[in-house]
Amino acid sequence: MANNDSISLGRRKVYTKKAIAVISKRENDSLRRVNYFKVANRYYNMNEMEDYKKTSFLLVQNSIEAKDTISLVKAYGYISDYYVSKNISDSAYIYNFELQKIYTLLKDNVNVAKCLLNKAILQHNEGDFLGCERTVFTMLKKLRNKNNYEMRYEAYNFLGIVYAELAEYKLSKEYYEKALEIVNMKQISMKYQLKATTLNNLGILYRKQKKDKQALNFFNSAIAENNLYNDMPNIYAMVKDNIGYSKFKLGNHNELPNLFFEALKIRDSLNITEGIILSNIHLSEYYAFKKDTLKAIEHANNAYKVAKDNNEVRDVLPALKQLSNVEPKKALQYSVEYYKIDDSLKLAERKIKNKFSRIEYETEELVLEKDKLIEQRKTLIYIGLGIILLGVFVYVIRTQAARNRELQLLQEQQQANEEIYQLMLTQQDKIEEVRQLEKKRIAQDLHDGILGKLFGTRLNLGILNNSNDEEAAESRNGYIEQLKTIEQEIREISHDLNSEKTAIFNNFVLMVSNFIENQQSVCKAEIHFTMDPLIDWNGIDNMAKINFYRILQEAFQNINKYAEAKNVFVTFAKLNSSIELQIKDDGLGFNYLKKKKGIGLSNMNTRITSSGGTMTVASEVGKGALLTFELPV
Amino acid sequence: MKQIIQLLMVDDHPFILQAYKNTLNGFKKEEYEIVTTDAVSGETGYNAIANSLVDFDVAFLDISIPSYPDKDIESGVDLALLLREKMPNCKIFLLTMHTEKLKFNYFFDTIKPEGLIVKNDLTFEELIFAFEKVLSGENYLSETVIKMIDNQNQ
Repeated sequence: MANNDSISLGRRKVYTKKAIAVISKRENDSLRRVNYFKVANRYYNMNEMEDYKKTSFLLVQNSIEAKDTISLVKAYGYISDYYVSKNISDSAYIYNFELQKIYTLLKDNVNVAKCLLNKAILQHNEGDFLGCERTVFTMLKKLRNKNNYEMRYEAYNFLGIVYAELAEYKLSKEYYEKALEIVNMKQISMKYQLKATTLNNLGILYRKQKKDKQALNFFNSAIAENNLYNDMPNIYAMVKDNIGYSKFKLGNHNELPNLFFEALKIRDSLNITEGIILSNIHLSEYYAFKKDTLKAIEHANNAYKVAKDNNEVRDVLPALKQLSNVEPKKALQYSVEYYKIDDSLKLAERKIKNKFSRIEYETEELVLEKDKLIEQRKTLIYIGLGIILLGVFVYVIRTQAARNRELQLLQEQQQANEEIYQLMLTQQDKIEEVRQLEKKRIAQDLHDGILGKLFGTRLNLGILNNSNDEEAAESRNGYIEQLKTIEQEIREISHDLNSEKTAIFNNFVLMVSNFIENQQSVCKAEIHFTMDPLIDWNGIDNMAKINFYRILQEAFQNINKYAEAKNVFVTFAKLNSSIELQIKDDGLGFNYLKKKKGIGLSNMNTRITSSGGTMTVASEVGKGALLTFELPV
Repeated sequence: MKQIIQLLMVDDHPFILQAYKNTLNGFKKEEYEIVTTDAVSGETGYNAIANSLVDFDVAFLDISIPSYPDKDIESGVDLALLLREKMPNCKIFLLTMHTEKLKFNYFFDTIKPEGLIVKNDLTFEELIFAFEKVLSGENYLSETVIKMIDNQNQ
């Protein structure tokens, strides 16, 4: 309802107020903000600028609270628009700049370009044409790689205007033509009537160069654009006015002053102050030319009044100029006012220029500081990364080295194990040999002893078969006794065979004994070796035996190298549920805790633990050492 | 007048020597008087042969006897060789527990014993039979030996 054009302005205002009351009761959610935007738009449409501003500020507040960047940006845009419309250029500049910063952070180049365009317009309005030119070029830079035709058109068209102001007519023409090129690509809606705008601008450019004929041609082609009046009545009015003025200059007064009045009527209805002022000045000039001083003064006065009432200071000047022209009597008074306003305008321009650049400078400084911070952070990150990388390198190299060492160790152990296996095998051979000898001996015993005796007994009993006398019976008893002895002998041999196992009982024991024997010739200390015969070595895992053997080797290596012992006691003992190996010496000893786990000790530990056993070390400097290994069985 | 037979017996089991004696005790008492000489080892056997005042007519030699390295006597075979050298007329019985073919061949080649007996074949009767056979100038091979030779010839 509030947006309905057909309803009276008063009614619409009431509806809008009601809408605001409803909206403000809602929580600060996205819907509430959307509705506020709608309300703001209503106010803008109804030209209720103060309410528009109030709503926009409310939106800024809400958006900040809700951390809603998109709404915040939009609200800033609304506020900026408000200040532009109110001609309060420094505030507009500030909000526009806020907006630009946010868009830069969001890397939204198109919107940054839009902000830059607004800035350029503000700069232009304040007469800062050089600054304006710079801004437009920055904007074009932002638009690089972007297919935004509209923005590009605006930029070129605006450059045309700026160069026209700077009297760079050739450049101005060049950029207007570029603008026309873009329009001719037909990527922009015709409704905006951009072609007519630029054609009109070109006309003005030629008028500035006093080439009114060419100017008129451009104005005529501008007015020939389709639907110009319906789409953009303000531009239509402007072009009409320009045609009239060009014709006036060329002395072609056929349609005058109707053309001026037509333009003024449209401008009046649209309330375009600038246009109204211009139309009045043109009319004043026309009537002055026609010597109708009264009408000339009237229109000049109209222009002056409208400009004054609307605070269009800049437009007061041409009005004053016209007044002094048409009213020579008051010329002095007008001139004094003219120069006063002109001076203050120039001062204001300088001030605003300074203000603009100050706003930018402060921000730039902020940006610089931020850059510096970012730079510092970057340096920190690089250093950190460097350190981490270095750390990783060191770690990798170390682990690699450790792995290599481990592999080497493993290989060595493998080799040692193989050697021991080999030793066991040769030992096995020796044992086999001994066993063979033993077998031979037993065979011999059987053969020569038992068989012989049995043979003898059988033979004798055979003889006695023939006689049954007393003597023979006695002899037979003798031979039966003999058979008993043979039994006994067989039992003995059988026992021998049985005990052969234990006699050659285990090659491990043999191996260890051989090792100890060998050590005896190398080691300066006296070695006392005890092997508990109760240990059933056959029942023990080969790996465990190899480990015991290696431990012995390792221990003797240490003893030979460092201990300077007089006595070494090596004892294998059978405990309740384990086998214990003790290696005790009365040498120099060592501090087990201080001495960083010697490779020998750690090797021994690894070996016994790998077989599921434990190792304890007891040693003190000067008091020898006792290594105890316990293997559960 | 009974014929005197000088008999040498070598076996490391006195027991067996006794058995031989007992067996031959009853051998044709009217015709022969058997005079025995015992030895229980390579050494005693060697001495018995080397120092004998008489030539032995018959010898019972066990092959497996304790050796006598001084005189290179390893077994009964070496004693047999000595006998062949010293008393070529002596009829030799080789007695053994072994039953290996190769050994028999070796005996035949070197000693050509008049009697070759595997002890396992021997009984009281068989011993008397063998003794008689050899005395009469024939050769005697015990049952196992004959089988072995048969097998070899097949």
